[in-house]
Amino acid sequence: MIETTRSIDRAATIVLAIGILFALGPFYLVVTTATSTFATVVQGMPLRPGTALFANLHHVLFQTDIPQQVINSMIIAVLVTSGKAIVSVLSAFAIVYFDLKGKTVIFGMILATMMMPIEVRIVSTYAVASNVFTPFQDLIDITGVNDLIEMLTGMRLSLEVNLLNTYVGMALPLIATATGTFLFRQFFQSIPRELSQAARMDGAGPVRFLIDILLPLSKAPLGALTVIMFESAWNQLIWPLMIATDPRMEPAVVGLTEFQTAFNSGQSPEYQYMMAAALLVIIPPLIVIALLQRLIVRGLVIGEK
Amino acid sequence: MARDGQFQGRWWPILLSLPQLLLIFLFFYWPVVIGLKWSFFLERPFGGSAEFVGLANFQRLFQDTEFYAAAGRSLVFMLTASAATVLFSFVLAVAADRKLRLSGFARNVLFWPQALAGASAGVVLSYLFNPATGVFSWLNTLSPGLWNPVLDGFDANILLNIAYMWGRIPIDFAILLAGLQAIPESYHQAAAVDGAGPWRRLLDLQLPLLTPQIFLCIVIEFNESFNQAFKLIESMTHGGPGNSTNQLVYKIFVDGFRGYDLSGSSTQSLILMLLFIFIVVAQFALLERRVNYAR
Repeated sequence: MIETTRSIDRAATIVLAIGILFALGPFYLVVTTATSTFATVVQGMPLRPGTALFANLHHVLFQTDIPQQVINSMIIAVLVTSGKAIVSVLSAFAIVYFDLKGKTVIFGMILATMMMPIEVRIVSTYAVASNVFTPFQDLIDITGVNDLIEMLTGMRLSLEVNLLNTYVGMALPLIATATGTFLFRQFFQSIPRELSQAARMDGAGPVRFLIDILLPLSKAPLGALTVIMFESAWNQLIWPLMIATDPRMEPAVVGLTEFQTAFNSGQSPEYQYMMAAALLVIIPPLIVIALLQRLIVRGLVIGEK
Repeated sequence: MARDGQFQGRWWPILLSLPQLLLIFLFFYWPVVIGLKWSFFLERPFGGSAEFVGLANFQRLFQDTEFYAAAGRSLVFMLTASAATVLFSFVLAVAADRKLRLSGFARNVLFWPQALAGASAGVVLSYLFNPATGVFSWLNTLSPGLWNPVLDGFDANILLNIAYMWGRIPIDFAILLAGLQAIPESYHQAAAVDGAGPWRRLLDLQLPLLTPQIFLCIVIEFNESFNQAFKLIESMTHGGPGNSTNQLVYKIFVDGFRGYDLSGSSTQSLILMLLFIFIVVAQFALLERRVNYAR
């Protein structure tokens, strides 16, 4: 520091302490409640951890669908994250490294999807995923697009009601967003042109350049984007809420909100179970954050350029 | 002739962007087209032929007072939630930038709420702030009913704002702190030599240099508060008590899926989309002129 400003430093410390308390308080109370018995929780919010953690966890693990739902969340989050990363790297690569007439149009079309989040177009998106596919089915069968889908995913899309209650149905519409393409385009454009010139001169084709040069350089933004995409897929609510009608197919966040809904409809509020479930739902994304926090901050700085 | 450093090949770029285009066509453009169609037809929820009704859906909507009320609530939430989040994050970032003993620890743990953002935060915080045993329940011993988000619409809205802020501070804090740390130490030293104290430097040095990051945060928060409102409302208040938290995003969902009013719901979607585009454009038109990108 430049000058000794003890009073300002003290004020700043108090501000930070309040911020930390605000950020960590909920986590702490989740833990204390998840470790307490019903008798304690009814009397008031427990401020100290109790001893009933295993009893509460036992209830959540064996009496509810939460364990299965956590597995569902994992599968969906991994599908969405890897799908988004692959799809957006490819399209950003096409936009930056090829001389294509219509590429501004393509980029504009991709970017426009940011204008309308899934919450806004939920009803008609649901209709697409359920049954309005029939006129559409013919179109993709005739044009051979279905063959391509078969080649890429190993199965033919039969676009009827099947997308309901499937992992693919929950993941696909979430992959279809522009954020990743936008960030990778920014990043690719910041890479010196000399690299691809040199690669071309040495006779490398586009695939070779992408795999051997561009991807190793993209580790930092790829890592940051992975974290952000994982968290956002894990915390999705509206789409899985619609598409999964079977509780055993629901992701964990939906399962967690159902505790709350049950309490609202008059069930006795057994908060210790709810918080034990919350504990299980929080832990996987918290581990991802703890491990890759540095990458997020670096990625944000890149993304903001 | 291709530009330097670009690859040749007509089919490569199309092939490479095809997966992305296919997905957005299926799950974005096609639904938007269907939604557009629905807003001019009267759609039967359980199949059957749709009937062209022209602008009747819009007329019905513009006579619905709840529609205006819900749109107003959305707007108020966007303003209060993003203003509070950016302001609080800014204060925290300025404090953490002062290289205090707590700074390193704060930088670490202030990111944690990101893991719990959205609906799970809603569930946890509505328990934490419940009127009977929650952290504000002592207010009710002072005067019964002072804090009751289950029955009082104003309290319910405060709760939504707190929950939103809690989950969004991590990102804004990280962006703003990165911006503050990019300001060279020599600027501070030069200003201090000229006699500028810490407050003065905050207003005349840090704040102007931080405008790109602040602008970015405001844009992000406006869009996020618009989207995330659904998660928080569904997990905390379900639009209640008495419609006081029934924002437009939530109303569209309820009308479409619980009321089976497909036409009404997609008409609102259409209007919401136009509103959203207007807000994004307005943000850039009004705010970006004040942003100072040169360092």
